[in-house]
Amino acid sequence: MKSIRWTWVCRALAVCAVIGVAPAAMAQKWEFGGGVGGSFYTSRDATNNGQTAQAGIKTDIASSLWLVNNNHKNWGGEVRFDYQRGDLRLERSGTQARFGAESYTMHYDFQYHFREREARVRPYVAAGAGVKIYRGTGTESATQPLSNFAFLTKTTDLRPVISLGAGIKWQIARSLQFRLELHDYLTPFPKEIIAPNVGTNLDGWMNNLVPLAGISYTF
Amino acid sequence: MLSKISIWVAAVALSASCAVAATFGTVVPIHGTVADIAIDDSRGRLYAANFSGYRVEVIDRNSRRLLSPISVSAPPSALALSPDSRFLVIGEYQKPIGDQDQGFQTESGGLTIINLTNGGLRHIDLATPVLTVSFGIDGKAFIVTRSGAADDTGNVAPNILSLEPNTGNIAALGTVTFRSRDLPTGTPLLQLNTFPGEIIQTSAGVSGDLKKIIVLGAIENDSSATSNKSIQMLFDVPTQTLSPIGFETSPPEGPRVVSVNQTGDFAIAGWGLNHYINGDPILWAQFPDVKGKFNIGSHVIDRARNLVYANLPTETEEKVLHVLDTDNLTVRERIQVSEKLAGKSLITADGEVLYSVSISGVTVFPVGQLPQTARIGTVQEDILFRTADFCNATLLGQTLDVISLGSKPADFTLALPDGVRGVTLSATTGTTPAKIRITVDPAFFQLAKGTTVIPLKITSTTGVNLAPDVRLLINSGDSAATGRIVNVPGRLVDILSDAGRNRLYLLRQDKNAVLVYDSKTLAQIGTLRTGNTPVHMALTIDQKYLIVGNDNSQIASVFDLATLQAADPIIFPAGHYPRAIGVANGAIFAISRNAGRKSECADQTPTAALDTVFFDGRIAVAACTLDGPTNPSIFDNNLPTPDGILTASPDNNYLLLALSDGNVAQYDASVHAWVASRKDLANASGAYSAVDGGTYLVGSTVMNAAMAPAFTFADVDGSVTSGETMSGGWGIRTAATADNAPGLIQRWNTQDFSIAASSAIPEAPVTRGTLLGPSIGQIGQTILSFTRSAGASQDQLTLYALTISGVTVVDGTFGNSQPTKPLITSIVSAADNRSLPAPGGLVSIGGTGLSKTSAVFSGYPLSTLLGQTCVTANNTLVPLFFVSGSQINAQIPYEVSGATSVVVHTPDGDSPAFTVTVPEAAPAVWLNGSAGSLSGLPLVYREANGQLATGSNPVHRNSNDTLLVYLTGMGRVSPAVASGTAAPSSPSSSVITTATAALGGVAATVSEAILTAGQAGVYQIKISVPRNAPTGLTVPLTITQSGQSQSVSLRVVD
Repeated sequence: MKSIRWTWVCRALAVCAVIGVAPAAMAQKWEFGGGVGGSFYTSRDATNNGQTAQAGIKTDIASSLWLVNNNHKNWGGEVRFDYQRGDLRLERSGTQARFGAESYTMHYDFQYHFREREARVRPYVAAGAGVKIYRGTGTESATQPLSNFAFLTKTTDLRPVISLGAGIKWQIARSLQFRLELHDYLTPFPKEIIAPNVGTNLDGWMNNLVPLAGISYTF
Repeated sequence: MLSKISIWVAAVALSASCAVAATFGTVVPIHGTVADIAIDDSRGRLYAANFSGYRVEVIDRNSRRLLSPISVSAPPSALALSPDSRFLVIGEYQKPIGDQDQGFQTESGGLTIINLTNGGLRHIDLATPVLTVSFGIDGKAFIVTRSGAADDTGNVAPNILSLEPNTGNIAALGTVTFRSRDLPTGTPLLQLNTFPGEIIQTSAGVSGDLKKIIVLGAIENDSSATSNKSIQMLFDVPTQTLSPIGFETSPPEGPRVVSVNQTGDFAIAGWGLNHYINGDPILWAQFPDVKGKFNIGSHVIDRARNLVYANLPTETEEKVLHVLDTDNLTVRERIQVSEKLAGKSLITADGEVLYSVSISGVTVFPVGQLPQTARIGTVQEDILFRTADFCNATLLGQTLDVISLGSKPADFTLALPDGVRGVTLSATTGTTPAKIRITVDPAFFQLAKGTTVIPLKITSTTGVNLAPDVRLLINSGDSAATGRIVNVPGRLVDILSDAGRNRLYLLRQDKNAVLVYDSKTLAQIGTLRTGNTPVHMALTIDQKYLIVGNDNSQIASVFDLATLQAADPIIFPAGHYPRAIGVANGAIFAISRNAGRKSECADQTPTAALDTVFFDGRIAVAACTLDGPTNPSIFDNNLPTPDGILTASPDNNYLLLALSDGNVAQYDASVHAWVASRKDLANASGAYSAVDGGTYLVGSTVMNAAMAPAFTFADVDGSVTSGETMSGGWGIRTAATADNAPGLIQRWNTQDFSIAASSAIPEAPVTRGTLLGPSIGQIGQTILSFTRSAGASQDQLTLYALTISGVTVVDGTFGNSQPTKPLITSIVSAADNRSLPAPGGLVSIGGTGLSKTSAVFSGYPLSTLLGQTCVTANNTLVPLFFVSGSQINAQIPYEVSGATSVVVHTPDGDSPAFTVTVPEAAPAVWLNGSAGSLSGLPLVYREANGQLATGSNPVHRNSNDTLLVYLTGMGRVSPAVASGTAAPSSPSSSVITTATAALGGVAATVSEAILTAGQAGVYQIKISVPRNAPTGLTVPLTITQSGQSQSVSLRVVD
């Protein structure tokens, strides 16, 4: 089953790449780069029997690789792969449970630059979608604090992701570009790896704010 | 070849002799039949009248060889040696006619007098056959011949003669009817298998002082030697007076042997021991169960040792020489002899040797050496094993001392009855003296909850006696029973509480004795010797005397209770044997067995009669009606059975008479008459009591003043009533549900007959059934249908019950505080508190009062007793883990299945049986796992990390997860493991009934199902998680066996 999912994800991304690549070929302006930053998640309330715990993912590092095609003076398309670390967490009144985890995000964003591509500094906004795979990596144990709210689980959880972002690109050399950006990845709450216990209400979306700085090679 | 055969034959003979029990005495075979013997102490000889050999055999006493016989011309029927040993007088029976075809001359006889000093011989012809010859202290031979025929004038020649042996002069002493059987006349017919005792039918015995001669003979022609009519005649030598008396007996008065004591006041004639009072024989005691054959059996009084040696074959004992007491024929010992005795027995003057006519000739018994002869015995008559409580499974041990009653050691063999389990002996063979450790495993007897009696038989190849069995009394005790057992060996047939003296009188029938016990200390303080086969006791109105009825004596024994000495007995009419004694104000009665005595008032011979006792005169009479001292009753004195009892009301104003055929009667002392009689019951037995003048208890039936049934107690578990007494105005009744079950004691309201209190006692009270056991050394027994097994102390705070082992002492306040008996409300698998129990599975028993304390097992093997609580499942003891008032955790024994009756036993009693179905298997996953704050988790472990499968440690379907599940209730295993024991690690025991598993409905492979090593009743199975199992938070894992399944929820993830 897992392999089938991966196949589906790869096919989807390939389609998106073709969409982006085709205009880029005409524009003959490409960016390939990567960045690092932080990963900040909002938490959700896990409510059980009138009690509430905070469920979410701890802040950690984030990294990203991207390929951007600018085939329009203001518009571009970006294929992107993000890797984030971040332990699963449950917290309530000083009690917390943590469980090693990471996530992989593949998505395609449309970018709208507020300046034409020849500009040295180009602020932009981005929006797109893709998939995010959460993966519990911790060591399982029969006991877990706050397990009456949810179980932090060593398994994978594939979720659709909506990507929203904004940033600024500086062309600091002829083929070198520096980027600062802030992305917000929205996914349905990953209830496979933070599995609410029976009776626990744990729903909604999870916001993942990722500020990062990166370098791109442009050609 | 010849020598080999000889060796083989010798070996066989040797082994055979080793297996045969030793016997006492040596047989001297004689070619012929012996009619009489005489001892010649001065010459070391024994003379034996060889009736069919026409000679007197002379036997050398030292060598036991036959010397030259003394031939006589007619069959010698009697012998006697003069006191000075000079003359041997030979009595001769009928003379042969000479012509072979003519046989014997009917009216003929003779005497041959041999002067042993000079060899002189004198012959005297007589007109009648000589029956007996005896010498008295006067030196004259006392001769009894058969009665002659009357002459023409009707006169009969004297047949009782006195002979002066020196001169041959004969003097007539009188004429008394004595008959005998003729030898063949006319055409002689050889009558095979006929012996002198059956022909002569007469014998005489002489007292030790030679002053009394007693003759027993036939009073009528009796060709078959079976006549019930006999004659007994006492001849007083100094006064030369004859005192004959004719009588009837049943059975016939055989053997035709008379043994007399030193002074002649006691003599055994036939099977009866008579005490001669003013010349009249009073049957003091008799041998029970005799056959009455004229030619079989013998007895003699050993005057020096005050003993009786007797061989009176019974249905069960033929070749046994009984050693008995002379006053009441109590059996002291039973000595094995090689053949039956068949006539007179005599003891040498020095008391060393007993010579008896026996079926082969003469048997010589060196009785003087008997004390040194090896005889087997035991110190203990009974050994009581008593568990602390019903549930106690601790092995019980006692020591049996096997001894030789003689100075020489004896080998012995001990044997338990076939099929007895739970009793082990440290040795079954040995040589005296020896101590044998007897170990009893109470587990084999716990279900009885009363006393199981096991006879331990002792035999010997070198000991000459027959030792009575030792009673092993194994009391497993009902935990709720009240009272303590005091072991009193013997056949106890009656109990009487002498409240004024704080005594208990226990009637021990096999020893013909009343055992006197201090009722406070329960120590024996005296023994009173009764007549033979005592059956019932009563106190006189003034409480000064104890009267005992004896079924094999025509006297009722009387004892002065102030001195604990025998007083003059009450003499009953000839043929009447007093059994039950009833004492009312102004009157004493006895139910007597009647042995052929005709009624004085009608042409009838009652089976039994009610005799009226005149205590001051110590005599009882048989009146025509039931009678009273002043008023005759309207009822005929003809009781249909002697199997009955008499008892008085507490004020002694009324007597109850109850017979086993259901007849009852009431005596009213105020009118001195038997006033009421009814027969509303088909039969009656068990307890009896005259509660008061208006209330009588017979068995389970309460009768009113008119003896009409007023109420019937319901039997409890088929109980048999046993005893009844009064305590504090209440009736106290005892009953037995089974011989080896606990007894029942109840307090009942004598006004409305309601049961106020009921309790178990540690063992069953005696009943007719328990008393009718095999002999414990005595000859015969008389067990009435009615039993009095209960008595009360003076303050009525203590009750006494005759029970299997002796006496059980019960607190008179029993039942005032009724303990709460345990109650089972549920039995479920201990794993999930829901599934059914299964063989070998662990269960939780829920209820109330299940244990007085809480207790936990201390290790394996599991005990079947915890905190004084035990549990049985289909009568099999259940291993226990934990007990408390509301819960018991236990293991269902592997051998139990199907509809199962479970009972909890506590000191407060037994629970009602709780029936539960125990299928072949009923798997139940343990739900006692915990993780952090979580509890009640199924014991399902992931092999991947060895931790419980929980929400935070879910089952992974894509990781080849293997689950280890712990359960109970998976049923029997192979190799089998005993219930209550921890399973071994190697080899592991596999579940026999196939188990299957499914995860979320998807079949999962069960790779192993075994008992968990080191634990009892815990199983484990291994399950491979199927890849296609569904995921989820609560995916059911279902284990199924034999149609029984259980599911637990697991979280399954990828």
